[in-house]
Order: sequence, then structure tokens, then C-alpha cells
Amino acid sequence: MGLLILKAYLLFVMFVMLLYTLRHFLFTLNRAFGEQRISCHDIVDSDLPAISVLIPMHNEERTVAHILNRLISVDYPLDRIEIIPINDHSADKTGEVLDHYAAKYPQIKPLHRSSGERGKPVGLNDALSIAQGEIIIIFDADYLPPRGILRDMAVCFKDPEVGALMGRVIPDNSFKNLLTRLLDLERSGGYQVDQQARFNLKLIPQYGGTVAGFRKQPVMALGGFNPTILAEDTELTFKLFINGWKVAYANRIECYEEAPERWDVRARQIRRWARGHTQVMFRYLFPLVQSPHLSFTEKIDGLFLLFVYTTSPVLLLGICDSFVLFFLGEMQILASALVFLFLTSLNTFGNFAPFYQVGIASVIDGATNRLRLLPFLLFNFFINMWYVSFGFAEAVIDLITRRKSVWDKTERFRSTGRDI
Amino acid sequence: MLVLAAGVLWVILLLIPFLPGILELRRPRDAAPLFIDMEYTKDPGYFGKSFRGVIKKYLRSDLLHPELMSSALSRKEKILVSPSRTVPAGRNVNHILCIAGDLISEEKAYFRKEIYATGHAVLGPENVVQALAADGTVTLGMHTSVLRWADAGQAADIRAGCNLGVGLSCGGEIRIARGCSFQRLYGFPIVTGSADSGSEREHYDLDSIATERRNSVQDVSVVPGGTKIEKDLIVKNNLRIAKNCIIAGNIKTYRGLVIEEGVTVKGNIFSEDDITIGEHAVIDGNVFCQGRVIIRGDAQIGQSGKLKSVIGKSSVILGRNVRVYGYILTEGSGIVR
Repeated sequence: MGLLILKAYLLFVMFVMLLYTLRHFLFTLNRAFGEQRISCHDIVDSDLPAISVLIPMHNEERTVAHILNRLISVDYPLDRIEIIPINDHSADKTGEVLDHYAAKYPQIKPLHRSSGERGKPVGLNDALSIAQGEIIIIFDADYLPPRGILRDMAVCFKDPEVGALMGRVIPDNSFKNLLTRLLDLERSGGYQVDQQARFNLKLIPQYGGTVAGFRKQPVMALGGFNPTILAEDTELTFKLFINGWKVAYANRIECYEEAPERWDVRARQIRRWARGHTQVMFRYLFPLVQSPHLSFTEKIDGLFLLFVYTTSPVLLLGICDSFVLFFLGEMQILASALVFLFLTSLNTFGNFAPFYQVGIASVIDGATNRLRLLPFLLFNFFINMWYVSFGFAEAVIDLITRRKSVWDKTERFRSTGRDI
Repeated sequence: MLVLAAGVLWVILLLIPFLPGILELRRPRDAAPLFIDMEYTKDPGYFGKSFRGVIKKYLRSDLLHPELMSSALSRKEKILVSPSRTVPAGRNVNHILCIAGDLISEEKAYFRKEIYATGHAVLGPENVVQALAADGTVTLGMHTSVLRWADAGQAADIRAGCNLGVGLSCGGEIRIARGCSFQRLYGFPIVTGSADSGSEREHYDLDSIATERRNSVQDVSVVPGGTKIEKDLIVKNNLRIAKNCIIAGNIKTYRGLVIEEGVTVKGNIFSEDDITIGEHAVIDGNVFCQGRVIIRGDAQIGQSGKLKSVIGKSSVILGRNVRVYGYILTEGSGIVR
């Protein structure tokens, strides 16, 4: 009986991997050969909405001046913009720098938070309560917004159905080391192909919480951000879709970010994402299925998206399972299937964007020499699988024990003296 | 021994896929971040402004006779700097023209390089021009082709059958006659039809336009004629807004949208398919769709003093005497019928 369960589980793992492989093949084919939807950012309109730009910050003295310098030079009308840096319990000079900028530029209105809970969702909720703009734009503190980006983002909300918008993230430190180069590849595949294909196919493009925006009114009406969830972006995605709003993706709205430069920092980041995403899965699985506002294909894609971080522990257990079967001398039965398992696993989960997605993305971006690094994504695969499994386990424990999760901020690497 | 050799071979085969990557890490050829133009701002008149910025330094106010000089543009080019100039019929011009004054050309002139004129540019019929910027007005004779772009400082009069290449931008009014094609237009306003475009009117069958790309239109929601609605309309199938309705909100449809004669929409209209706007309809906001935008005669998009966009992914088809305040864009073909 036990042997049967082990074999059945291995077949289940293969089936799951096959489903995700097919999904990502579909995305890749769509991006390579399919009809591409255009994004609203091409609209030129003299009537621009009032916007509030929120920048969550915790100990960001390395990056704060860079992003503020970029934001004070944007081409958005000054009377239609306010910039609210959220100084969230910083112990370094972030607050001083913010006050210095606020004294010089009236559109910069820092929110200093030194009491209460720390974390991005709570900070955003506080900032939302004072924000005047009808459209809220979010940048993480390590981002470098181009001069015209706010106009491009704001006009996308002319579409009455768009509740949130997501732009494309590009690492500006890709040249640093192997990790940053691999993350650069991963981002390319994830945005250039995955997000755009989901937008093309009218599925569930994901609001990513930075280089992103949303309408203030519906988000406030839906209760703002849940402070107990570590993936406030994924939560907002599902909250909006379930309540009849859409998330638009605009591939041409591009912004530089700083990718983690050390494996341990990356590991913590991915672990937090997995934990937060899994928390969202527990909370929104049934509302997603029951929502009257979503089409059948949106629901299917929503399920794939909700379960995406579950695949790592499923696969990890599958590998353990295969070892057990090997030592029990049962591998000959599943030998051919096992090869298939590993092929599909690597095809699909070698990284966050399967290698064929990365390949097509690099071709579209006109940067093909970097594809020589593709086999190195194998390392990312193992790191991701391990730490995503940790994050998943933590989320399960969160659910059972109802313990509170603590926001683990991603460490920055940028030099303060760097010219931006 | 055999086992050892097999083991070594196995390790070599395992490492081979990594070799190109190791080379890339040791001698990077593609390590730089993907390029983002950090100073980019959306400006439909960008080509003209950018070209003027480069070329203006070659102009001199004391110029009496044409002078041919070498320019240091992105590549080495001959540039003819000249006072006002008339180009005879059938002449081929093989260098960049920089005119301190007006440029006039007779029929079938061929300008293989860019032109800049500080005054007006009046091109005769069947000219071909690479790109053209004029600070005054631009007049293009019938069946003239612009291979790249054109930009007028004050106004533009585009006669019948012209091909405007990537597009035309203008600081004032663009009048564009029937049979012209374009991808982008930017003017305040853009008005279709001109004195020489003929007086006959085209008659459109709204139903046939709406159903052209489908065998049948089912699930059509209809807003009855004369209705006034003061909210956003989001419809998951086809939508027909019958005559003389007033919609004081935005409209979004998942399939085709037909706006009939005399309808007023105070907001923006979006569709995942085609949008057809009937005669004398007035849309105050933007028009955006993933299919075709068809705007019939005497319709108006936007309003004076404001800037709005008409964007149709597949095509934009304009009828006679259509007035658009702002920007028109298509990835496919733009046509004035």
C-alpha cells in the first residue's frame, strides 16, 4: 500500500509539472507568434488624474536620494502630484534625508512612522489614509523611475475597468555577479513573456507592488492591505479580480530596480514571497472559484497562479519520493516516467521563468548573448525550490498557529555616492 | 580503467553546457542592463523637434546663396544650406536640405534626405520626401509620399492620396484629404476632408461595418435611442448605443461597440474589438480599441483646448469632416475615406 502511495505521488508530481509546463509553453508561443494586445500607455491626454506616489522605506539611506531625485524631475504636472515616502521605523539617516528634500520640494510629504507595527502593508495603509490622489503609484525605494513614467502609468487608468496596473522591472545591477545576471534573465522571462502573455490572453496579469499603481477608491473600499499578509501585491491582485476589477500590464512602462547581489539575501526574499503568496492562496482560493466576475479561463489561470509556490514543496517531496523508490528497488517500474519528471521539472521550474520563456524574452529584447548563461539557472532552481519550500512551510504554520508574520526587508547594495 | 574513463567523459559532458556561460562570465559580452531611456517623455512631435535640434546649427542669417557643406550628424552627410528655394519638377535631391525661408517644389520631385525649412514648405503633387520639418505651414500635393515623418510648426494641409509614412505632427490644425494614409497624426485639431477632396458623400451601413469581421453578431446589448446614462458602462459582449443617447461616463466593451448618429459620450471609450462611431457623434474623451476604429463623417473626438487620443490597434478609418483634437495612432493602417 505504501509503495503504491509513493508511486501514485510521483505520478501526481509529474502531472502537476506537466500542467505548468503546458501553461508556460502556451505563454511562450503566444508571445512569440500570437496576437499582442496593446497597452493604454500610448494614450496622450491633457486631463491627467491627481496621483500620489508612495515609496515604502525602511533604512533606505543608500537609495532614498536616488529615487527622490528621479521623482522630482518627472514630467507630471506639479499641481497633480504628491510624493509620500513612508519612513517605516528607519534607524539610519533615511528620515533626515527625507526632511531635507521635503523642505526643498513641497510635493514631497514624508510620512514618518516610528510607532505601531512595521511592514509594507501597514505603511501603505497609513499612507493611503492621507494620500490625496485618486491614483496611487508605488515604487520600492531602490527603483529609478524614468522621467515620463508617471504620465504613462496614469493614462492607463482611463480604462474604467482597470483597477491596478503593473509595469516592467529591469535590474540595473545585472553586471555585478552571477546571481544578478541570473535574476536579470529571470525578470526578462517573467515580464517580457509571462506577464505580457497573461495580458494578451486576458488571464491574470499580476500586480507586483512596485512600478505599479491602483485606484485608491476601490482599494480603500475593499479594506486596504491586510497587515498579516506578506505578499500585499498578490493579495491586491486577487482582491481586485475577485471584485470585478482588472489588472493591466504595460510592458513598455519600464523601471530599473536593484536585484539582490548575495545568495543569502535572495534566499530570504524568495522565502518571504513564498510565505506571503501561500498566505494569499489559503485566503483567496474559494473566493476566486466562487467569484461571479471572473471568466472560466481567468479562474483556471488564477488557480495556477495561487498554487505556483506550492509546486516547489511538491517537487521536493517528489525528489525525496524517487530516492525512496530507488532504494526500495522500484525505480525500474518508473524509470522512463522519472526521466520525464526531471525533464518537465527542469523545463518548468528551473527558475521562476522557464528557460524557453527566458530565451524568447531575450530574443525580443535583442540581448541574446546572455543566453549563454541559461544552464546556470539550474542553481537558481535548487535555491528557489529549497527556500520556497521553507516559505510554504512557514505559511502553513502561520495558518495553523495563527501567529503573526514579520516583514523581512530586502537588503540594499547600492553605494550612496553613486551617480544616478 | 574503463569506469574511470567513462566517469571522466560523463563529467566533461556534464560541463559542456556550462562552458559558454563560463566564457560569458569571464569575458562578458552582454552584462549591461537592458536599456531604458531615463529622460524619455511622450511627445508625438518628437521626430521634428529632435531633427530641428540637430540641424539648426547649420543655418546662418546672412545666407545669400546655397552652400553645400559636410555635416557631422550620426553619419557623415552632405547638407545644402540655402535661402528660400524652389525645386523644379522631377528633380532628385540627394542631400539634406536646410532652408532659411520657404521651400517650394513642383511635381514629382524626389527628396532622398531630410528637409528643414524655417518658413513654409509647399510640395507639389507626387513628390517623395524622406522626412520634412517646417516651422511654418506644410502643404503636401496630391499623392505625395512621406517615407518617414513630417512635422509642421503652424498648420498642415495634406491633399488627397498622400502617404504620411510613420506620421505627421503639427503645432496647429491638420487638414487631411481623402485617400491619405498614416500611422500617427498629431494636431490641434485634425480635420478630414479638404477643398479638393470632392463633394460626394460616402454612405456607410452601420450594421455591415459592425459585422464585417464576424458572420453574425449575437449577444448585442442595446442602449435605446435618446437614453441618458450617468455612470460607466462595462459590457461583456457587443454594445450598440442608439441615436442621440447621452452617456455621462466611460464605456468599455469586451466585443464590438457601435455608437450611432448623434450620440454624446462625456467620458472615454474602450473596446477589446472594433469601435464604430456614427455621424455627428461627439466623444469628449479618448477612443481606444484592440481592433479597428471607424469614425464616420462629422463626428468629433475631444474638444478645443484639450488633448485626447484615438488609438486603434488594427486600423483607424476616418470619414469626411471628422474632427479629432489631439492624437491618432494605429499599429496597422490609418486611412481617410
